[in-house]
Amino acid sequence: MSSAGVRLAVWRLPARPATIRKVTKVLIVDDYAGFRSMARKLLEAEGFEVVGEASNGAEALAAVARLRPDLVLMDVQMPDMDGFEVAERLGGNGTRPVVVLTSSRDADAFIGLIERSPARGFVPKAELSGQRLEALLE
Amino acid sequence: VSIRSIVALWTLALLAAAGAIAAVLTSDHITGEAPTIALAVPTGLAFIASGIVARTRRPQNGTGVLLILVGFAWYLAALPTSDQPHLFTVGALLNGLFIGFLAHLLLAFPSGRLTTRLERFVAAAMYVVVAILPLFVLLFDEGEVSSSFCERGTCPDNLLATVPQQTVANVLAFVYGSAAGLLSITVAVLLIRRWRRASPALRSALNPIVLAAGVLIATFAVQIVASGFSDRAARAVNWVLLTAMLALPLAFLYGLLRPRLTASSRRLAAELAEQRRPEEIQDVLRRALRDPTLELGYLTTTKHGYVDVDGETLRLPGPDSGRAVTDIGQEIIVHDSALADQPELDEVVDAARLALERGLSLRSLEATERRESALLDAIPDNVYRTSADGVLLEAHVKDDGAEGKFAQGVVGRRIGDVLPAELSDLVMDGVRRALETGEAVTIEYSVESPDGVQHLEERIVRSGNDEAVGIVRDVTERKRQERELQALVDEQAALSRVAVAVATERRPEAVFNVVTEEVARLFEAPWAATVRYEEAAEEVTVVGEWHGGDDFELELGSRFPLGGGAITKVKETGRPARLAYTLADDDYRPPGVDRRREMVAAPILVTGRIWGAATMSMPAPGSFPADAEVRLGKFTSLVALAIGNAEAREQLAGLADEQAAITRVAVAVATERDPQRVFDVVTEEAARVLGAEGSNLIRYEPEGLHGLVVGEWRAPGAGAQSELVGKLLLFDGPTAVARVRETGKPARLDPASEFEGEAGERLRALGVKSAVAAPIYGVGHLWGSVVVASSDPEAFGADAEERLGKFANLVAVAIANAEAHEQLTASRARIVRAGDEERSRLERNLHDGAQQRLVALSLALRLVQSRLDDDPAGARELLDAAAEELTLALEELRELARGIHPAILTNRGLPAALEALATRAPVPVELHRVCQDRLPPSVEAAAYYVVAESLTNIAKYAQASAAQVSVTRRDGLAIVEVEDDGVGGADAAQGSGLRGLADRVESLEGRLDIESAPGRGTRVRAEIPIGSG
Repeated sequence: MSSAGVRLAVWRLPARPATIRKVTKVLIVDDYAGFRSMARKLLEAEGFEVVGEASNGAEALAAVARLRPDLVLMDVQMPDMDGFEVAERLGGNGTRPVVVLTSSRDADAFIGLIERSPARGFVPKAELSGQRLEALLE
Repeated sequence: VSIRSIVALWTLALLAAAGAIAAVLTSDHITGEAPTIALAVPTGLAFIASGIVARTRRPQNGTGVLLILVGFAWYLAALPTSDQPHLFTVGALLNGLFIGFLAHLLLAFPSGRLTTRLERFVAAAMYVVVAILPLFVLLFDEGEVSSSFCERGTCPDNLLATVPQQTVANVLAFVYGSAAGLLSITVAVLLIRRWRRASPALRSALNPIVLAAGVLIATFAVQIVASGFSDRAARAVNWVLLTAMLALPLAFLYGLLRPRLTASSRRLAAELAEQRRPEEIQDVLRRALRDPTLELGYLTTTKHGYVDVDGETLRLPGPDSGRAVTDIGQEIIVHDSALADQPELDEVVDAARLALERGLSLRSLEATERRESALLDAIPDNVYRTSADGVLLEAHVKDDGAEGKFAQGVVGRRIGDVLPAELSDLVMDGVRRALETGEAVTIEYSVESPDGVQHLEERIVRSGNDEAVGIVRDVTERKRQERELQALVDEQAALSRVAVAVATERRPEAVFNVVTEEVARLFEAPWAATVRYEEAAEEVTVVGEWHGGDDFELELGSRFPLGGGAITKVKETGRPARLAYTLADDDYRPPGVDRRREMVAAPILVTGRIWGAATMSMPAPGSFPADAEVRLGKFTSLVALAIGNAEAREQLAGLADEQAAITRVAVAVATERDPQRVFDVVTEEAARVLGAEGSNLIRYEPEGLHGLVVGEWRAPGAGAQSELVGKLLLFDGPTAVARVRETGKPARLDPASEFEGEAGERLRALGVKSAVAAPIYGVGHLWGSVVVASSDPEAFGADAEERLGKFANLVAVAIANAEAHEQLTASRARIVRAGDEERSRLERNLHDGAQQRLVALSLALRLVQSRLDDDPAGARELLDAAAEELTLALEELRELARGIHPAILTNRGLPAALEALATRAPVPVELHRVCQDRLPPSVEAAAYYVVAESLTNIAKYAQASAAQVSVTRRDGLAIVEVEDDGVGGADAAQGSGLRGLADRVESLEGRLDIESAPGRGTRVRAEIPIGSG
C-alpha cells in the first residue's frame, strides 16, 4: 500500500559559479574540403580557435587525442565511420570534448540517432554559426 | 473417614474459632467487634462442617477437603485483628489465602476436580496472587498498606518491612487488588457458564452455590470499587460480604445433601417392582435421579449390543459427551455424568437391579419359548439338530427326495458316520463356525443321485451353547435356472461387445479378432477362427483367430485350401454347418490325446454373397449345444454388418475426401497470395486423396528430362522432408514422373523396372516402394506432374491413376493461375524495387554533389557579407571561390536531370534522342531505320531505354566494333532492335539492366527477346504494342 505522504522539497540547488569566458578550441571533421575551409573561416571570424581539421573518423580520433579540442564539429557522413560512431568512441579515452554533429541534410534525417548519441547537439551545415555552437556549449 | 479424625478436625475448628474470637475481642485497632464475631466466626465452622459432611459422604471427591481448607484459611483472615505484631504480620500475609481455596472450590464443584485448562490456570493464578504477592507488598510497605487493617488506635508494626519503599508497596498492593478482582470475576463467569451448560440434574445442585457465590463476588467487586471512594463505604460493604460468605457453605451443604432429601431407595424399589414395561421403569428412574435425559439400555444377543426401551440400538456415550454409563447387570443406564459421583446413584442402581432381574427372567423365558416353537413350525425344509461334536439329535424330514431317504433313522448317529467323509467335513466345519461365531453359516454342495446331480444348500445356526440346527434345501432347479440365465447374459454381453466393435471400429479386421475371441469364450471352445473365401481359388484366408492355452495358432493372413470340412460345407450351402472329425495322426498333439473333434461354422453373408465364415472347434462330438450354429449365426451377421459398413464407408469416404480436397485447393487459390502456398496445398491434398505417405509437385523444364520440384508433403510420421523443393532434378528411367512426361497420361512406378536411372536411385534412397503420377496441363502445354508415393508396395489400388488424374485435371487451372500470379507479382516487385533504387541513387547524388556545393556556397556568401567592409580583398577572393563552386553545382544538377528523364526525348522525339545516344556512344552506331512518327510517351521512353541500356552494355561488355539500331512500326507494334558484332553471351536472367528492360517492356504488354550466342554478337529485340501507351 502506498502511503499518501506529503513530500517536501528540502534540497536547494547551489548557485551556479560564474562562467569564465575563454577561447574555444575547435576541430573540424568532414570529408568535403570545401566545407572544412568555409567552416574554418567562419568560426575563426567569430572568435573560435580552429586547432585542426580531419577528413575521416580515424583522423578525427587521432586529432582529438593530440590536439585536445574543446569542441569537435563533425559531419555525420564520412567514408570510414559515421559521426555517431566517432562520437561514441571519443567518450572512451578520458578526453571528452563537446561533439556537435553537422550535415547538409537537416536534423529530421537523423531523428533518434542524435538523441541517443553522446554528441551535445546537431547544427545543419547551412545554419552553422559561432552563436549556434556557443548556445550548445552552455 | 473415621469418627476420630472427624472429632479431631472439629476440635481444631473450634480452637481456630476461639482463637479468632480472642483476637477480635482483644484488638485495640478495630471496631464493631460484636457483629464481626457474630457474622464471621460461624462462617469458618460452617465451611469445616460442610467439608466433613462432604468428605464422609464422598471420600473420593475433593470438594470436602477444599471446604475444610476454606474454613481454616478463613480463620487466618482474622489474625490481622490481633495486636500482637507477629500475629498481625502473619495475618496481613495470609489473610487472602481463603480466596484461593474458595476459587478452587467453586471452579471444581461438584466433581472436586479442575477439568479444563482454563480452570486450572485461573485457580493457579489465584493461588499465586493471594499467597505470594502479599509477601512482596509487605517487604516494601512502611505501614500504609498494613494500616488498612486498622480502624482505630495504634496499628501493629509490619515486621516484614525490610526494604521500605512505600510507592512500590502501593503499586504492588494495587496489582494485588486488581488481579484478585479480575480473577474473581473470571471465576464467576466460568461458574455461570458451567451453570448455563449444566444438565437439569447438575443445575439444581449448582443453583444455590451460583447464587451465593454470585452475591459474594459481586459484593467483593463492589467493595473494591467502594474502597476507591471511602474506607467507610468499603467497610459497610464488608458486612454484606461477611453475610454472603456465611451463606456459601450452607449452599454447598444444600447442594450435597439435596438428592438424599428427595430419593428414597426403598420407595423406589417398591415402585420399580410394580412396573413391567421398560418405558415405565425408565420413567421411574428418571424421576428418582431427576435426570429427564436418562436412558435405560438392555443387552441383547440379536443386535450384539444394547437396545433402548423401544428396541432401537443404543449408542454408548463417548468420554467427553457429559454422559456416563452405569451397569446394572443385564441392563445399563445412560445418564448425566454429574450423577456419577452421587451416592444416591448406587442406591438407585441397587433398587433397579433387583426390580429388573425379575422382569428379565420373565421376558427371556417367554421369548425362548416363542422362538423355538416358531422355528420348528415355520421351516419348510429338512431340518436336523446336532450336538457340537456331530451327534444328530433330531431330524425333521419334509420331503422324500434323496435327502429325505438319507435322513431316515439317523438320529443318534454321528454325522461323520452317515455322510461321505468329504461332505461330513464340510458340514462339521459349518457347525463349528456357527457355534463359534453365533452367526448363520451357509454351505453348498451337490450329491449324485439316480435322478442326476442334486444341488443342496444348507444353513447352520447355533441353537444353544453346544448344539446347532441345520436346514437343508434342494436348490437344483434354482441352480439350473441361474446357469441358463448366466449363459443368456453372457451371450448378450458378447453380442453387445461385438456390436460395439462393429459400430466403433472403422476397420473390419479389428472386428474379426473381437468376434473370434468372443465366440470362443462364449462356447468355451479352445479354438476359433474367422476366414474369408477367396473368389479366385478354392481357398480361405484366415482373417481372425483365437486359441486357448496349448491349442495351435493360425497365422493371420495365411491361406488354406478348402478341405471338404464344415467351412467347405458352409460355402456350398450358404448355411451353418456342424461336422465331427478326427485329427490326423501326424497332428502335433501327443499320442493318447482324444483326437475326435467337433466343428461348427456359420456363413458371413455380405449383401447376399458368401464373404466368409466363422468357425470353432472342440474336442469330442456333442460338446457344442444344440443351438450352437444358430447362435454363431448371430455373431456372423454382425461381422457381415461390419464388413458391409466398411465397404460402404470406404466408397463414401473416398468421394467425400476428393470433394473436400478440391474445395481446399480452391480455397487456397482464392485466398493465398503466395503461389508456393497453393503448390503446398495441392501437393498435400493429392497425397491425402490417395492416402499416400508423401507427394511432390514437379514442374517440367521446357526441354530435356529435368523437372523443378515446387511442392513437397510428407505424412506425419513418414520420415523427414527430403528437402527437394526448389531443386532441379533429372527424371529419367521408367519412373512415374518420367513416364507421365513421355505419354502425357497418368502412370505408375513399375516395380519390375528395379528403379533404374538417377530418379530410380533417388526413390530407392527415399524408401519408395510404390508411386503414381498424373500430368498437370497448363494452357496448351504439359506444365508438370503431381506424384504420390508410399513405402507400401500395395498402397495404391487399381483406380489410383484414374483418381489422381482426375484430381490433377481439377487442380491444373489453380496451378496455372498461381504461376501467372507469381510472375506478375515478381515483375511488380522488381519495378517497385527499381524505382526505389533509382530514387535512392538520385538522393545520394544530389546530396553528395550539388547540395554540398550549395551549402559551402551559402557559408561563403555569409563570410563575404561579414568581410565586405573590413576586408574587401578577402571578400573578393571568397566571391571568386563561390562563383566557381556555383558553376560546378549547376553542372552537376544538369547531369542529374538528364539521368531522370531525357529532355531531348520529350522535346524533340525519339529520332533526335537516339541520335544523341548514338553520338555519345563509344562505338560507331548506325541508326538503320528509325520510325519518324511520334509514339505514345511511354512507348517512346521504353524504346529509348532499350537502346540506351543496350548501348551501355555494348560499351561495357560486348567488345564490339559496331552496332546497329532500328525502330520500326508493324501491326500495331513498335519493334526496337539493337545488334552488335561483339562476344555475345548476354543473359536477361543475370544482369539487372536487361531484366529491368524486360519488366519495362512487359509492363506495356510487350516482350523482350535477347539472342546472344557466344561469339555471335548480341541482338536485343523488343516488341511494344503501340496502343497500350
